[in-house]
Amino acid sequence: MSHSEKPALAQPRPVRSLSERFDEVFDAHFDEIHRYVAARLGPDAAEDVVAETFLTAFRKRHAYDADRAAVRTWLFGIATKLVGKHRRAEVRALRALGRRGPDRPAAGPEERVLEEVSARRLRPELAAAIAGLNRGERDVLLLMALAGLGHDEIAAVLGVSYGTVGSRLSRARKKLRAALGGVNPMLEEDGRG
Amino acid sequence: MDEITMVRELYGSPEPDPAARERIRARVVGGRPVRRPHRRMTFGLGLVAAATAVVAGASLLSGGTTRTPVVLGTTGGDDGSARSILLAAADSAEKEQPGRYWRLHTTYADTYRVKAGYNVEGNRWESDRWMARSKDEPDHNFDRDLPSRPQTPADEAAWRRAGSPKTWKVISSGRPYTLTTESTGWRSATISAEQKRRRDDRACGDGSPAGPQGCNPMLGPSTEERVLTDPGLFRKSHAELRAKRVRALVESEPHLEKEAAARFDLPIISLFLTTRPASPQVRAAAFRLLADTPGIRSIGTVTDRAGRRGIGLAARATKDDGGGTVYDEVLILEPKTYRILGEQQMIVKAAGPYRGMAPGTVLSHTVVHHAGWTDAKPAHP
Repeated sequence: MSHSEKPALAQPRPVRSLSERFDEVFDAHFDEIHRYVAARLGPDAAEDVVAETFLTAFRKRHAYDADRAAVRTWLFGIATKLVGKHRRAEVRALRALGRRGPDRPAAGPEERVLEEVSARRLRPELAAAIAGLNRGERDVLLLMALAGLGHDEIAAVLGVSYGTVGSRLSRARKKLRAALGGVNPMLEEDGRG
Repeated sequence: MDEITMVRELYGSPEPDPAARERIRARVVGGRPVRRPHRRMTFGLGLVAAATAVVAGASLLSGGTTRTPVVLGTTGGDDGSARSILLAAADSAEKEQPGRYWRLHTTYADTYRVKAGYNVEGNRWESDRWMARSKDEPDHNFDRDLPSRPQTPADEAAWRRAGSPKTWKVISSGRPYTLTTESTGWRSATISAEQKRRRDDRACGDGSPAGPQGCNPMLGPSTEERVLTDPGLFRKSHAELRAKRVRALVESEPHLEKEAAARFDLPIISLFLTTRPASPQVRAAAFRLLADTPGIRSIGTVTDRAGRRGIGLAARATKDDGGGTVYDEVLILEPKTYRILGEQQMIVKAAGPYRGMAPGTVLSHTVVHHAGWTDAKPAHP
C-alpha cells in the first residue's frame, strides 16, 4: 500500500513446492486484490475476476520468482486487465449512479446535508465523470484511489512509463474537477423527494 | 476534499470476505474453470442507489406477482398527443403566480423483490420543503422516514402468507440491505440565509472556495438566479448539460441515444420542474423543451401510488443493471391543471434481478403531494 514500499533487494529464497508458494502469494495478496476488484465490479463479478487473476498467475508461476513487490504489481496488472473485460458493466454501474436515479435522497435535516455537501451532493456527478473517463485514465485513477498504489507502482502494473501515469492522472483529475465544479445547480439537486 | 478522496468515499471499502477467499482458493487450486453460470451484475459502489434490489438468488425464483393497472403504450416515435399535452402544460405553467415559498411535498419509495415472491416498497421518505423565493429569507424543511411495506394488496396477502415479517433482507446496489417497518417522527430544519449562501459557495467539487463567479465561470451562483428567471439562459444551460450527459452515454454505446428521453430529458426536466423555484416563464419553457423531445409518448390514464388518476407521459429505456430489463420512465400530470402528480419507473419487461416483477410494476416512485408557489406559513403536514 505504502508508496515507500520499494522493491526489496532480492533475497535468496529457499526452494519450496509450488503449492506452498502459491498459498504464500495468495495469502499475502488476496485481500487487497479482492478489495480493489470488488470495489470496481461488485462482489459477484469480483469472485470470477479474482479467481481468474490468481489462476492466470498460477499458470505463469515462474514469475513468482520475482521479488514480492513485483508480484504484487504483477497481480494488480492481471486483475486490472481482467477488470477491463467487464468495462461495459463497470461503466453501466457508474452510469446508473450518475443518473439522477431513485438515489436515496440525502435524507434528513438540511444541516446534515450541508455538512457533507461536497461528498453527497456531487456523488452522481462524480460517478458519471468516472464513467466518462477512458479506460487508461480510469485504471490509473482507481489504482491510486482504491488500491492505494503510487505512481511508480501504477507504471509497473500497467506497463506504461512513469510520465504516462502522471499525465493520465492529471487528465482524470481535471475531468473530475470539471464535472464537479461544473455541476449544474440550476438543474440538479440531491434533495430530491 | 480532493477528487481522490471523493472517489474513495464514493466507492467505499468492501469488507474482507474470508468465505469468498476460501471459495476462490479452492477454485484456483482445483484448477476449476472460472466461468460460472451468468449472474446478475451487481454494483461495486457502496451506495444505496440502485432503483431496485432483490434478495440474493431471488432472480431464480418467480412468484405470484401483482399488476398495477396501467395502459402501456408502444415504443418510440414522436407522439402528437404527448406533445399537445406538454404544450398545454406549458400554457398552464405560464399562468402561475409566484409566491413567497416554493413548496415541494413528496413521498418517495423504491421497490424490492423479496425471496418469498412479492414486492416491498422500501426507503420510503416523506419530505416537505419550503424554499424561500428570496435569498435573504430562510428555507424550512421537514422530513420523516416511513415504514417499508408490501406494495399492493396482493403483495400484502403474500406477505401475510409468509408470516408477516417485520424486516426484509434484500440486495441494494449489490450490497445486503435490510428493510424495516421502522419509521421516524418529523424532523425539521431551518436553513438561514447565511447557510444558503455558504451552501452555494461550497458547491466546488475540489473543496476550493468559489470565486465571485462560482466554480464554473459559466454557472456561478449569480447565474443560478438568472437561470430561474431567464428562459433563454435556462435553455442554454439545459442544452449544455444535455450535451455533456448524452455524449458520455453514447460514447461507448451509441444505440443508447434513443433512450436519451428516458435517461435524461424526462427525469432531469421533471426534477427541475418540481424542485426549482423558477419563474412561470422558465417553467413554461421547461415543459416546451419536453414537448420538443423525441421519444416521449402519451400512455393514457395512469393510477399513481397514492391512488390518483393522471395523464401518463412515458419514455422507454433499459436498466443498466437489469440484464435486459425494459422500463418506462413515466411523468404523471393532473388532468385539466397539468400539475405534476409525480413520476415513476414502471416495468415493461423484467429480466435479471427484476425477474418476477409483472409488467406495470412500479419500480420506484415519487408522489408529489404539492409542488408550487405558496404564501402560507411553513408548517409540516
